[in-house]
Amino acid sequence: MTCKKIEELLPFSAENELGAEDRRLVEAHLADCPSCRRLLDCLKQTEAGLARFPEVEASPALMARLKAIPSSEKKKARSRIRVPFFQVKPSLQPVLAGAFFLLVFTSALLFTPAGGRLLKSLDRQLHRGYSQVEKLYAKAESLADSLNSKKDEVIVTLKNVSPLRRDDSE
Amino acid sequence: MLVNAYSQKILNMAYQFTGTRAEAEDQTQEIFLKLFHSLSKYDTEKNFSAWLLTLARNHLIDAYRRTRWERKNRDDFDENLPSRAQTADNPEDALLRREEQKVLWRGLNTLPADIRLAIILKEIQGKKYEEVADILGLPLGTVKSRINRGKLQLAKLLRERQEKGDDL
Repeated sequence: MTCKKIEELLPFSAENELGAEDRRLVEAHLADCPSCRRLLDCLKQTEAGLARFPEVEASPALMARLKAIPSSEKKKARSRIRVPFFQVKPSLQPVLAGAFFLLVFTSALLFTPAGGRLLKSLDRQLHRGYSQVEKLYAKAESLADSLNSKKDEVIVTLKNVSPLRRDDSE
Repeated sequence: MLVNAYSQKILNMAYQFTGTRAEAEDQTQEIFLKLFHSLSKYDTEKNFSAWLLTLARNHLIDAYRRTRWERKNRDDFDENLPSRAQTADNPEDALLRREEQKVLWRGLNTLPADIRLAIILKEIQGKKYEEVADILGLPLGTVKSRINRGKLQLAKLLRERQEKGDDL
């Protein structure tokens, strides 16, 4: 087995997590390879060295900054509470009141049985008016047609009774 | 109080991740700001510490992607800081260990952000694989493979350093 493949197994070997077959392969390789033996030693030293890493202490200045965060966050949270805009602009209050009542009225029309009946009757009246207008328009059209058809007859009649034509015949 | 209970843990996580004290303090402050903003979203049935570390992890990875700290150098390894597991070494061994730790400290910068964070949680902060998987929101197998890859990379740096030392 090559050093590269053994290297991949070494961390597991250091933690005794290798299966019997792999352990035998690693041990056989290590017996003949000083470089991999050294790497295994270094791996153990790495684990021990990391476990002994020193710890830093938080400085008093950092602690003061950290302890100041909760109170500054509370202040920000208070400032984030929003005042309704009609409180900021009182001049808008009549407009908003009108809009509110319009909304209530529309809702009453749309979402109550009485409002529904009223809407139906309005609809019916509207359609009735519309059909009457249509009838009047049709009558007016037929009158115009009959007047057109009579127009020629009237002209001929008028020509026949004209005094000029009588003079010509005489 | 949240600050007293968790500031040290978050600061150390940020310090080990960013490698600079100033950056770590800034990131800690931002993480706590986010914490106070997100407290209302915390599900009380979940583990608070794991939830906070997930929030910190998300913040650190996001900030890392925005600013790419790896381009900056890490602070020098501070030998004066108290070690978490002091052993009664003789002065020569202690010196060797300090040298190893310097290599590892600088080596953390060579690891990709997600692997670095997994190593920090598991190897430095001593969490179990399951806890790390929970915090990172990754399957257990992925977490194990990332941590092993990271440790192998660090071990190779250490071996390289030791081989150079032997040659000198």
